[in-house]
Amino acid sequence: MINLSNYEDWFLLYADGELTVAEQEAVLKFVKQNPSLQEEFDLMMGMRFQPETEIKFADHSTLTAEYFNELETTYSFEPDLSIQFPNKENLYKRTAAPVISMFRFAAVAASTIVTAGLIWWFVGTNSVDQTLVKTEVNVTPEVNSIEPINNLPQTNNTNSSVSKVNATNQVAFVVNRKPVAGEGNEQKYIVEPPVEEGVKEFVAREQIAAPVYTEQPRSNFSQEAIQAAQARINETPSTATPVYTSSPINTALLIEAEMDSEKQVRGRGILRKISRTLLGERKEEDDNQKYIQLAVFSIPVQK
Amino acid sequence: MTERDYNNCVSAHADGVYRFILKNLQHEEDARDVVQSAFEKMWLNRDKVNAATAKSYLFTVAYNQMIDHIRKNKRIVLKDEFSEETKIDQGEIPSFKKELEKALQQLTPLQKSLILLKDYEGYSYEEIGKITALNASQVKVYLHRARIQLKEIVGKLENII
Repeated sequence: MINLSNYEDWFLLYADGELTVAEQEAVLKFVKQNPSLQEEFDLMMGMRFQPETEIKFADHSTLTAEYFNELETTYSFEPDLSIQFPNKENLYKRTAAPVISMFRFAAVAASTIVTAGLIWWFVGTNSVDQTLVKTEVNVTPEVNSIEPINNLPQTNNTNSSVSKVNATNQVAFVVNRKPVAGEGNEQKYIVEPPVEEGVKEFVAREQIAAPVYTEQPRSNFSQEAIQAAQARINETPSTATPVYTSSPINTALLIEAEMDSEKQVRGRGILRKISRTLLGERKEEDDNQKYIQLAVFSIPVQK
Repeated sequence: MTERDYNNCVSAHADGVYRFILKNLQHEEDARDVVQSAFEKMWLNRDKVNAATAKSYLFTVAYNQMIDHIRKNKRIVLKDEFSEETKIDQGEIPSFKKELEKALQQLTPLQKSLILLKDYEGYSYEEIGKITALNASQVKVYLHRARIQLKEIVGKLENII
């Protein structure tokens, strides 16, 4: 309700025409009850602006739809397609195709050959081990008669194929065997690859009860390797002191490894010839010159 | 809105919009340009404009174009304001109505627009809010402040005279 503390707001709302008829009457009644506020009320009402009807927009025709339609139709332009830019060729941009020099091409080819040779050399070296890893052999349970093996001290590397032991009267190299499920009385073992030197040393060691193998040659050995193995076994003198009946399987493995290494050496020879052809053969061999052999490359050592 | 609706809108509201803009800008040429631009915009968007709300749309467009025009010509407006004060100092004896007109020109464009939309067109707070992008409460507060400021200016002018 209007009072002395809020009358100004009511006067403003009255001036804005935002009061209802009852509220307007209340404001007028309040002003009559407080004549000192009559002047302020009149001033507030005088702040209102009456529309000046004499002010008019001069020419309504410039606002009509016809006027704007005429503007759109009469004063629009069609492009003159006969006008063309004279030297359009100068504006085209063409980027030249990159020129690959023969030297760069030769460098790429040479690096590819070298990389391929290195890969072949490293992979070829490891292939011997890969062929020997986890070759399954049928062995009779008599193999278990190599009991001294079990008494040997344990090494940390239980998966190593050969454990070296520094003890006299003991087997120096132990073939690591992993028993797997077999059929009937036979027990299957996975014989992991023995190192060649280790096997030789194994043969030359003290007398131990040689296990009797009742294995059959595996079909994945080449016939040539099996025959060579049999021949080598037959050549072994029966009166030899170390009574050890060599297994044709192991012998065949060794022979195959030798054959692979021969192939590898043959391959190296070919690569060496290629490198000599590419790099040029040394004309004068200096006996005093020392070389470091890296794959198929001989690098001279600076004195 | 149809072409007929548009032309009816021209007949009904062209003068009102022009008065509103002219009182703000105090420049006939500029006011005419702004009004014509507002009507042109409404014509181009006639498919989107409803005939019932055409007046509100027209005042909104005109108000925005006027604010843009004032921003572009701010220096000229200031010059005009100084010239008005100079005239008062020269000792002219204006009537109360003229005093009020001069006092109005000392308000900001927003205050002027709020007062003129209220007094000239009789818009409600909500309608003024739609035109000037304010809410009804803001319109009420700004409008009351503008009237109080107007009263103070008029009082000062009377004292000077």
